[in-house]
Amino acid sequence: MTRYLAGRLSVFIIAVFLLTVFSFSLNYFFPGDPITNMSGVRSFQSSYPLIMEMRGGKENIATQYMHYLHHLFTGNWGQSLSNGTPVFDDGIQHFVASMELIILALLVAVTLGLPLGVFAASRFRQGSDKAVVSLAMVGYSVPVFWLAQLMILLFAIKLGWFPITGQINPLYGVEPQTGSIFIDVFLSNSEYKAAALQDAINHIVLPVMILAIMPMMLLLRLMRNATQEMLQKPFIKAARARGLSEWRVLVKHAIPNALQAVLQQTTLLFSLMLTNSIVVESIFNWPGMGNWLIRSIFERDYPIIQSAVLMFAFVILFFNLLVELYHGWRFPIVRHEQYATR
Amino acid sequence: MQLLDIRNLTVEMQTPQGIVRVLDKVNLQLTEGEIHSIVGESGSGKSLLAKAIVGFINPNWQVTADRLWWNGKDLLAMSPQQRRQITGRDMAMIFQDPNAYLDPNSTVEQQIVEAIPQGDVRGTFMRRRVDRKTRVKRLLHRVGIRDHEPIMDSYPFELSQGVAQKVSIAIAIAHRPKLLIADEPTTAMEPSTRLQIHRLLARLAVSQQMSVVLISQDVGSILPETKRLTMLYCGQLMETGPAKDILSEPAHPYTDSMIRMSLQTQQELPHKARLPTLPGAIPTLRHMPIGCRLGPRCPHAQKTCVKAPTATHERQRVYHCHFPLLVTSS
Amino acid sequence: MPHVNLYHHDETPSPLQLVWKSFRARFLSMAALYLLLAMILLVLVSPLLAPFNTSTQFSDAIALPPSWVESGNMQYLFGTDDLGRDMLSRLLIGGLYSLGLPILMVAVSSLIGMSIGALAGIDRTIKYQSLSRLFDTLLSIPSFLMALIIIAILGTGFNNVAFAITLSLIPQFIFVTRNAVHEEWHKDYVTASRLNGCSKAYLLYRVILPNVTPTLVMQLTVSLSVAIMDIAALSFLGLGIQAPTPEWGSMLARSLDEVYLSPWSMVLPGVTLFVTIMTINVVGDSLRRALKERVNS
Ligand SMILES: Nc1ncnc2c1ncn2[C@@H]1O[C@H](COP(=O)(O)OP(=O)(O)OP(=O)(O)O)[C@@H](O)[C@H]1O
Ligand code: SF4
Ligand SMILES: [Mg+2]
Repeated sequence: MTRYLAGRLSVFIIAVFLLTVFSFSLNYFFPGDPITNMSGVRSFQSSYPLIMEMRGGKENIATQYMHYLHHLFTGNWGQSLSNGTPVFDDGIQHFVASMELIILALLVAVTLGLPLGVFAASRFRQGSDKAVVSLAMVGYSVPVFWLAQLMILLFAIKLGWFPITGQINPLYGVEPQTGSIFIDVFLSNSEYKAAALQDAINHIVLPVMILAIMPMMLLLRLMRNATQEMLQKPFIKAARARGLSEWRVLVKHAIPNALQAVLQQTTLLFSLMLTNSIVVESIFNWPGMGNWLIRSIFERDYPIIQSAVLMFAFVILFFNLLVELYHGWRFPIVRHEQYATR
Repeated sequence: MQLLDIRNLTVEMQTPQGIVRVLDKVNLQLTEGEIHSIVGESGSGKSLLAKAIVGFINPNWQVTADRLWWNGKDLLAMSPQQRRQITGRDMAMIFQDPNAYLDPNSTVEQQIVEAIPQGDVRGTFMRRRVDRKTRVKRLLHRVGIRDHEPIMDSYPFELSQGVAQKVSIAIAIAHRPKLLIADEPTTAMEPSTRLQIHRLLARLAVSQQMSVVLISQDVGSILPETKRLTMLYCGQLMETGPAKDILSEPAHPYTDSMIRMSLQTQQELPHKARLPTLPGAIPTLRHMPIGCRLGPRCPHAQKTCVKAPTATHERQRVYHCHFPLLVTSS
Repeated sequence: MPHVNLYHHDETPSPLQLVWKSFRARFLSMAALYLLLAMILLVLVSPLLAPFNTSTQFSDAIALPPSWVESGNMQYLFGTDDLGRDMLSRLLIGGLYSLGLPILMVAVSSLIGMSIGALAGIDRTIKYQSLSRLFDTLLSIPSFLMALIIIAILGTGFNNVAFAITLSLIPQFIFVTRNAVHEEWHKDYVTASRLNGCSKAYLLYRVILPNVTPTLVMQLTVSLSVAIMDIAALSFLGLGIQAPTPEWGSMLARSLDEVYLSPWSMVLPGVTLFVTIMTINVVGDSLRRALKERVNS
């Protein structure tokens, strides 16, 4: 495990390092002055010479990069080109708001997708399997923005159940502090906390549902195929021949082994999730990273663009690292395959 | 009473080229506590016969038999659940490639524990845990693994083939089956491990009153304790009877050639000597000869051999051949 | 001399034929394939079929419902949008951008990606292996995000968007090709041919290619549906193909405001997009299924 851990961590660290190199070089790719792109201070502003000095703007590129790293790790991510607010503070809030949405959606996707996948596999090629699999195919093929429109049309406009923009009704006067709406509600000194909480829940239901559907269908299909493949394996048949109940065969042998296969494909899941979160946040005007990124692209707010990109990429790498570590810890054969053969 | 009684077992399977008969009217009788060897070249349907007994067979294949009785009960007449219950309780099978039959993501201990019948362990929760562990240890000792600690916590891919096979034997005997079918359990192993496992099987047969069906590819590697011997070729039964009689006095040309082959390979062969094999090669599934399937390769074949030979009963022995080597005494 | 078939000879189909055979055997697979081909054909001839210019605004027919609705007009088969533009023409021509362009982009990126991937797949030393793990890690960054970055650098516009998505699709092709080739390369039969002295080029084209083709075709369908989704999403967000051009995603972008007035302007492009993606996904999934059946049999 130590070796696996070290290997995975070192790859992660190198990847993060490459990521910082990339986001540093973005400053040169973006149109305009690199120092302005990094710091959000324009060349005619009075603080520009100071910033130039601090970021090593006159020195060679390696020194500049070191300065950039230093700023990055001390939370000094410059200021927004459009309204001058510090990027780091904004970024944290948007990050937390996004994570709230994404993690809830992931929970929904996992708790519904995996069991349904197992169910379909255990009814392989019977009516209920076909129904579930067709549903998954449909759900997986609906473009997320159209799905959002349809759901808004149905639940928000026709039925009027859920509101469609933002995290909470501004009338409750809940100040964004952490970015997570639930924590913010608790921190606020509003007199109507319970009502505010209810309102926050109403706001989050629709985006979470929409965001969860595609990953859920993906998981369902992956799990169904993996489980079905496992059920064909000799060791499963042998377990059955030994007289174990079908339930026990499924729970103790087929599902763990299928999970091992599914976990190998979670990169797909996370990248689908993040891609869709960008679109969903824009539609629902959710104050998360995706919305932030799209707005900054429109406004050519380069300090924000690179910070958002950096955060997105980091989140993906980090999620994948977590899954890989869990994978290697729970399924020793994964470690074995990676270091013992070839 | 016979433990297992099979009459005219036929297995047919669908292939893109049509229906193929992979087992053709095979008979097998088994009494309690005996070791029965099934011998035949590759593709002769030995594994298929074993799998048909334990009901481990592709549901699309056609299995018919005049009789497939276990302990006097007709296995073919049962519902799949019933049959699974009975085979799960009374039979066990081990395979050539033990690793494919062990769950790669559970430890040895978990897998053996799972095979121990629930009723065996009693007491409080903690007591049961301890009890299970001691039972696992005892089982591992019984199959010749002294050093149980590291093995119990291992995953199957960490074991050598010999140890993995012993573990699968431990799993197989955990519920004290009446019949253990071993399908070429030692083919891929070095001689010392092979000897160990063979001895283990022989000992189990004696000490547990367990019948053992041992499948192997040549007559040379059957156990000395073998009571009865069955020769299969291309899904047809060639000869069956007491092992000693058959080995000393084969009645069937196929048996004869197999025995001579195995004797010859154990001795030093002179330079450029011919191997005493049958000419030709095993026919493919789609091109099975009619009548006696050995026909094209048989040194004694004559015109009548295109009709399938009927069984000849000779003392305790049965063979299917128009021109047997034994001159019938009666 | 008459040709007499003396020996019974069984055809042994090649792996490709086997996959095709089991693909063909399933009705749904073939239906999806034909539908996809029909859609591609329709897109190719769409400029000839479109009854009107896509940007002509008929002031006498604003927000006209489709012809099958009571108040519809046969002249505008699918109705018109809020500016009085003919929906059918816009959907047809929109296909050029929403389906035709992605096909082109996938073609370009697959050519580049597969060549690099094939080369990367056949030579692997230890050093290379650790590099490739790093590469895999970086690959986990979604293609949509990469396209966004490129657009942020280059700005929006037809060419930039096409370039951005093409570029962002390449890594997946490298990844899949490399893994498929590498897996095949280490199988025993290839090792045997290699020991027999076959050249690398021969091995790649005659030995490996037939075996990895289905996998690559599957990746083509996956990438195509990703490309369609990406370009539609970008246009929906206003970063892709810009407004007067009738792209399905951008047609959807303005439809929510007017959904009460003209629901068909939201339903029609959405359904078209959905059916297109669904068809491609079904083809890809059937291929995966056929492939698995071959391996299992
Ligand atoms: N799943 C299957 N699909 C198609 N044919 C099969 C299948 N299993 C077995 N056969 C065929 O049935 C015949 C008998 O196979 P079987 O495995 O019983 O032979 P065997 O005597 O055990 O040979 P070996 O010594 O190689 O294990 C073979 O010709 C084989 O090709
Ligand atoms: S029946 Fe004929 S072909 Fe078959 S074994 Fe006897 S002699 Fe040989
Ligand atoms: Mg066998």
